[in-house]
Amino acid sequence: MNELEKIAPGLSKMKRKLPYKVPENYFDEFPERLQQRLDEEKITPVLHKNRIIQFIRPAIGIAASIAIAALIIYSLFRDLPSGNQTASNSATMTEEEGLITFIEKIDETSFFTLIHEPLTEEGEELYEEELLSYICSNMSEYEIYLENNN
Amino acid sequence: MQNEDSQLIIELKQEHRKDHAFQKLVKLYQEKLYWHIRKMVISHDDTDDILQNTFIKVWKNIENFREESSLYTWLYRIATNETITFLNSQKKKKWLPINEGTGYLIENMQSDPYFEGDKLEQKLQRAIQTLPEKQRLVFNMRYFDEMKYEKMSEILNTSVGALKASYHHAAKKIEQYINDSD
Repeated sequence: MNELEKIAPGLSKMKRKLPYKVPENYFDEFPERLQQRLDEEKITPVLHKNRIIQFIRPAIGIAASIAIAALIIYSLFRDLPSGNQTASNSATMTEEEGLITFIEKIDETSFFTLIHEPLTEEGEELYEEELLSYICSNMSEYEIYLENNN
Repeated sequence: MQNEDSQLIIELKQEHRKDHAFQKLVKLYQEKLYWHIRKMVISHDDTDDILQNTFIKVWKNIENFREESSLYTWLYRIATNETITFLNSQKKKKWLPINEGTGYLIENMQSDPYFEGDKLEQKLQRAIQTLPEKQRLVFNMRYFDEMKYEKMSEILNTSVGALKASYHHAAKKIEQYINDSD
């Protein structure tokens, strides 16, 4: 090769022979060995998919558990007793204790308005109704729940 | 050859003919690809692994072959990439820089039962192993395979000019190495 004679004359004179040999019958047997390996590889993609599912499954499980727990917590607070039920549950507390607790939470203006109003029978009923109405509009169901349970 | 390759590609892309066509493909190209790999990695066992990996990749990706190059070029390219991947993984195991030559392969050469060269041939192989991988590829393909630069350019995705320069430098380095070790 003229190209090599110019660049590396010594190299151009050397025999271009590879000093490696191959095991006997290697090329005769290679296609069969390759086919065996291919057959194994054909099974592997299915296992690979299964492996992905196995990997994702715990994550899905955790996500599902969190979702269920959130749903339970939500339904618990959603199902909290209403103002009327709270009034009847306060039988566990004396009426006086209930009133005192209520008064401690009421603001000043509302307090003086209430004490200066006449307590007729009708008024008493109204007073109770007003109280209930006030509790319902000024305290959250959760606060009422806590008050009853403390 | 081109017509035979075209027919082979058609059969490889047909599900009911793929197996038979693939066996034909392996028998046609196994030796050429084997020696292309062996020149780079030296060990027969490693070459056998890489050759299998190459054909498995061909099997898995034949549907994606767009026939922008010849079948032979495509096969050669896959074999080259698999070889370089293997060599880089070997370097990582030995904590060597990626751009380091593969002189460490020479250590196994003489003890390899499938090595049968004389002293001068050993020296030449040692010299070749000191070259960086890409340069070694170019040298092997030009010196031993007598491949045209245009074909090499397709396989290695490098310009003809760069390949010529690479080969010239490689040949000079090898000659220098052989002369210095005399």
